[in-house]
Amino acid sequence: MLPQTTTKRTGLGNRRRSTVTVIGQLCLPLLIVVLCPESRGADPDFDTDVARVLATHCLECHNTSEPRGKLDLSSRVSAQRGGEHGRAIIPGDPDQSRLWRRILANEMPPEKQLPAADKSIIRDWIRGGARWGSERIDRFQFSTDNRGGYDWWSLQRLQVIRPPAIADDTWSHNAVDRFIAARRAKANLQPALPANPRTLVRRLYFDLIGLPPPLEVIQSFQRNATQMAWTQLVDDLLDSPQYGERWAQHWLDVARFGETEGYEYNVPREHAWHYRDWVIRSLNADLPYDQFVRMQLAGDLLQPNSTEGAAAVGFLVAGVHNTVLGKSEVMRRTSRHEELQEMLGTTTQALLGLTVHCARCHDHKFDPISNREYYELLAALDGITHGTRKIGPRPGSQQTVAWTTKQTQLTQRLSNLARKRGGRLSRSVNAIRSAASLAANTAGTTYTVTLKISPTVWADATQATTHPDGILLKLLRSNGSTLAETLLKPKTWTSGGNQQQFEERRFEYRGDGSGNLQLEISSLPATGRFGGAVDDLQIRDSRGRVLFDSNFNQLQHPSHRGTQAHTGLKIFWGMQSAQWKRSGVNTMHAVEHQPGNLAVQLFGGWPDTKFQPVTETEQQIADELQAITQRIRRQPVYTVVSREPGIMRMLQRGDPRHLGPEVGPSGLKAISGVPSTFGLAKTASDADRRLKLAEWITHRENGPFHRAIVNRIWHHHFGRGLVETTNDLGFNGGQPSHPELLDWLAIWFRDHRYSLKALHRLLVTSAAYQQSSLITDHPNAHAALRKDRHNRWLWRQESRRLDAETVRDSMLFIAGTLNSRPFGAGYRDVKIERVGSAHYYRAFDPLGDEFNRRTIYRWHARGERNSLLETFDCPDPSATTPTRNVTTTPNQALSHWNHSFVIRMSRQFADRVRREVEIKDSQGQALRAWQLALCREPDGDELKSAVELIDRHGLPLLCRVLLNCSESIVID
Amino acid sequence: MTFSEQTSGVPQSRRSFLDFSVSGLGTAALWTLLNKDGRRAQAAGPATDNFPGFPAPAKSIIHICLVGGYSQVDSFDYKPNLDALHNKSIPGDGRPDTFFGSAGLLCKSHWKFRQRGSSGLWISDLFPRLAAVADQLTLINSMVSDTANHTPATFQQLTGFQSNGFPSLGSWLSYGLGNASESLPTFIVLPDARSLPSGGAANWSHGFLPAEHQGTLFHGGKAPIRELFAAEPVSAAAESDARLLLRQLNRKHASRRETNDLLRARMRAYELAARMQTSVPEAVDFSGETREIQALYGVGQPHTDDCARRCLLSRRLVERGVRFVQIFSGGAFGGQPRHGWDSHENCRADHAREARMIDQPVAALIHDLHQRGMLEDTLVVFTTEFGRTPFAHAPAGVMALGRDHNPEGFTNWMAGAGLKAGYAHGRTDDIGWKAVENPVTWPDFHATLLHLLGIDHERLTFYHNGIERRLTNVHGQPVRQVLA
Repeated sequence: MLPQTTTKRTGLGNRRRSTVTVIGQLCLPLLIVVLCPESRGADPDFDTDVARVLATHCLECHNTSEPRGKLDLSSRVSAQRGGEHGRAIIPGDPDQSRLWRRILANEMPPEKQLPAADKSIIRDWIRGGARWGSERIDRFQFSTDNRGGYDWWSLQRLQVIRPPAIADDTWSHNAVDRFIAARRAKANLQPALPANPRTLVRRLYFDLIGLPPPLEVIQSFQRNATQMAWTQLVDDLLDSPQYGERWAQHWLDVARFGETEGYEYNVPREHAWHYRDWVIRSLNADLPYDQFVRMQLAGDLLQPNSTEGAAAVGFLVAGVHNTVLGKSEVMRRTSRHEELQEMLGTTTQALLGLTVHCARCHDHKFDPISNREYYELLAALDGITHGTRKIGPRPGSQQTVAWTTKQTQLTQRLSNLARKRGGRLSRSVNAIRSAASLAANTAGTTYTVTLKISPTVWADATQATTHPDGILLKLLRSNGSTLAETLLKPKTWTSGGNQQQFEERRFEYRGDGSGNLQLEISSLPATGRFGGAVDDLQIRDSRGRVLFDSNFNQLQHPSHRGTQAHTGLKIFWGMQSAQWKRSGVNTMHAVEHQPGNLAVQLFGGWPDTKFQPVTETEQQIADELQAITQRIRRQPVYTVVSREPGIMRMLQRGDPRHLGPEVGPSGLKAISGVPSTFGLAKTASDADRRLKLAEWITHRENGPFHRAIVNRIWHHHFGRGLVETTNDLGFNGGQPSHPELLDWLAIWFRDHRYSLKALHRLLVTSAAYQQSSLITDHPNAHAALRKDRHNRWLWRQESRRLDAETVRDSMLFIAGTLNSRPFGAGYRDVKIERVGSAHYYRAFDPLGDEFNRRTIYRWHARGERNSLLETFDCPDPSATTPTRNVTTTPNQALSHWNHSFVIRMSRQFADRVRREVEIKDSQGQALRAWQLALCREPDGDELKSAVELIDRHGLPLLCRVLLNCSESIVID
Repeated sequence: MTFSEQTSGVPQSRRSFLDFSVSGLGTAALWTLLNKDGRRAQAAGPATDNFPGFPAPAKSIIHICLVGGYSQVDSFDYKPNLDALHNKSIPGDGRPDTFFGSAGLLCKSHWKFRQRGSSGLWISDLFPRLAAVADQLTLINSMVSDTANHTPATFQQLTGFQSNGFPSLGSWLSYGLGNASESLPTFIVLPDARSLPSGGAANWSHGFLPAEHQGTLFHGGKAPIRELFAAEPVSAAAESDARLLLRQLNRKHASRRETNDLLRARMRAYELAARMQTSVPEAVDFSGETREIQALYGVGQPHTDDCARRCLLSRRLVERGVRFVQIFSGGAFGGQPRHGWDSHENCRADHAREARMIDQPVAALIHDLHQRGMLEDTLVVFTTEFGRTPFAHAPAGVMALGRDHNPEGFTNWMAGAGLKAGYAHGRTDDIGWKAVENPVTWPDFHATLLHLLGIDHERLTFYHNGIERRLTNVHGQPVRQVLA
């Protein structure tokens, strides 16, 4: 039983190790040696017997770094010298040797006496003259009851294992199943029946693409539930672009991908999203995993000056970064070491399942990683730091000039074509124009336009951007030509003292007598984001007469839907009023920055909505133009910046105030079969260091590298890894439930060119995966529960609650409002507020298509998430999150039931149902709502209750119930 | 309506697992402990609300956190020698390693110190009202921090570690002690009205602990929690019919999946959520408080109103079983004018302004808790991330009104359950700069708090990324001398 509020295994209870089995297996040859020389007087072999006893029972305390009682038993010289009580070993005379006397008296080891066989080894060794073998005993040589050694299972090379043969096997689909079946049979358990087709399809959709299946897919599979149809479905989903969007989130969790710096200032990272896009694209392209990893460690070196390369190494710098350092040398060193530790800790946990960061102050307490090795591996990353680099062609180069010329030509052609058909290539993507024309154009009269604008109110009130582009205000003649215009650029705004105030600006124009004018306000979103907010707007003639006055109060029309209050600000959606009309393709908000005082907010669209090509030629040119623009643009990318690494020095006890010896870059000795030396000088360049590091980590013989990834993938398909602690395959982590399967999978994966898609296919086509999770679908569930409550032997599938992102994406999908536009800067559902240099993020629920994108495209600010995501256990990306918690709390229920997003989705879901039903009665609506939300038909009782609810309180309320019900977010 | 409440198909024996109200919610740490000790089976019955171990004097904590670093030599650390050395250079040749890299002349306290109460504790006129409750206070004059950098120091104060991502003190308590309230969050944060502390929610993050242990931020108003009520309310009848249908659907779904605890936990969560809709507004409604009490705290007075409301609210929350209430005095570190205690420019003016906002409310809180007998099992904790230097924040040889950061010696105090009252522990050097006697580190301080709540700080652990994590890392021991 786990605590009832935490239904996912945190690994706390059943994770507790039982090292006995594995150690037993590994040490078997040694034990035989140990147990055999019962015959007295036989001189034990030092390196095999004595060293093992000393290493496993004595050196935890009596080692070189902090010898207890000043006795160091790890080398000949120090052992002979003895400790604070004098000599410990008198060669040839156990009875006079303090070491033996204390062992004999069961005083040493202090907590657990030595096994008899080991005792005799020590006695016989001393009696035989206490001869030393190899110069120094490495205390990491052997695993003990308290720690892992070089013989720890995860550090070994992958073992070639044949899948077990199963007699009369009608259950297995593939080799994976044979491992499962064999182990399950050993536990005397039977498998569950296969899940029903509806459950299977739902499970697969949520697993592979993170969205619910369309009803038609379920129905089609129900008609033809064959393995062939299943495989086809699997392939279709793996080929869909949504696959990468789903699985990238799993990787971003591990990579602790965040888009603000953390710490005091928590400054936004504007260009970190390239990494997220790179992960999605790489997964969709099925980039072999070893390359996927090499790119993340050294992409900027492997593919220099490419966006891909710079984006990929975003992995290393995806974590927090303190930019407030202090003046003193020690403080700077402290920050630097925190930064490096964070990078190294994440890198080794993510890629190797090893917690190397635990060896900063002393040797690792549980794994065979020395304090020195920590600094050696740290040195491999010491040539990098956080930063932004512009990637793209050099400006002014011949190539760039040629492209620019071409770009101009194409734009011109497109513009001409568009003009011919009466279209317009506007720089502004959105604009609003006053509906009524103004008599403010007497020839020769000077008019004064006064307006209040603010860059910060809209940053506060809706999506924030620190790079506003400007607002363009125009006075247009009736033929559409411009009489006067003014551009309000952000730099003129941002210096304002009190950021909450609308700033007043003025400009003048002179009438030309050409007739009435219209006012147009537009934003210039070069970045495709927001323009700005305009509040009071007034035009006076030279005598001071007011000819036009608007403070946008009209916008507070009751018909405006989606009124929301956030920190005193209200946002109205779908602005329309008598005085203004919409002429752009985008949407507008009105923002209430003071009670009753509204501003118009222009909501930018995306560059590709600037121009809607009509003809094929236009489309062609537009495509070419886009491609060339892409090529020319120098893109800022948040990435690794190389620095001169210098020479790494150890810190004594991890303390930046006390420098220790110099070390050079190198790997860990503990990983068997992979040379740990990098063959580099202490002063080697950043490039040399990281290329070596990448080579070492992705080495074909690197056991933990391969085990870690197949275990991660398994975790997501089966709800739990073969080793539960997916970031920790060390001593303090878990033991594999199916060690042979883990190695078999790892080799299979390597042999299949590190294809993650192939691995998914293998796992989800297994019979084990397709089992039902319901105990009612098990031939003998009560016995199975009794024998294996936690389902370690996979006698059924695990039921799972959707994660935060999937909960939100599914609602958008069910409501029919999911915006599937991929890639690019993320949508921001937080307001940015600044006090001094400190940035605050306040979650809010913005409206608009842009915000209906999949949650992976959310801008990942550290410190604040919208409560719907937060209460569904979406983690703050401050540290690597290998497995998510699954909690159930009243706060989650409040968010799920009351959040404005959920209520809006309910309404849009209802709109969709109304659109889609043919028979427009409550029964038809309920039926369709069930189909969309739960992928099934309601039964009689359900239908009856649903119809009653609709009739009394309307369809949206029923939709809200369905979006909240357990069945919609818990997958069997 | 045809739908009616049906009796659940869930066997009665399972109920105890689902009852995460009074005693069950959040006793995850208990489970952990029991699991470790192989005693899980015994824990199937209702858990007690106290941690197994030793009797705990305290049940709740009200933590007042002064943001920016308040000056010990101007408040609770009396240094007559500093008066004598005023305008002189620091004795000896140790060049101080300050945050901004320079150290001006020594500067005496800007406020006069006096002995207070029958305990005779020295407290300056900066906090005249707090001085009046001196006999309830337990000063620790020898606090030390590992860093002079605000955010790492604040994180260390609040989470035990210097970087983002670790669970805060309140989250650890929520995890360790569970909830004593039926329908209020376990850990509630009441920020300064001027702004949140730098780092925002990172300061009350659950880190790697389950999300239920996250601090809940209370905004002002009658519905201080996000989503307490629907964004677009429906009629009471509609609300109740919809909830009923939801319950029916969920129950039916759960009845076919009887081993799935999550499904029943979800149903229970919706019930508790509904209960919170009445209990939270009730808790924040002061209409039941007498005018005298409100005046005692300073409610309605321009300078004290914000803090007074939060102090009074904290008492009401603790009365209703909330474990941990965190009140911030001060907001972001940067910015002008300053919103907190980071008085680099003018300690005299800035500290005076800040102290005026909190002195009366905090003193009233102690007084009020005391008169109600609540101080018997409530701890009031008053801390800052580090202190300030006894020398001016100025170039060498120059006098100024500001003071720089000082992690090497500063004062925290506690009051209430299980403490030696009217007592000062530890000592800084003659100028109030470095702790020289019984230095107390953050792990020591945290271990002491946990001890007062009956928790052995070495046993309150959670496995994360390779380590059984503790609030106190691998350090710390309770400061026995301050215990009653």
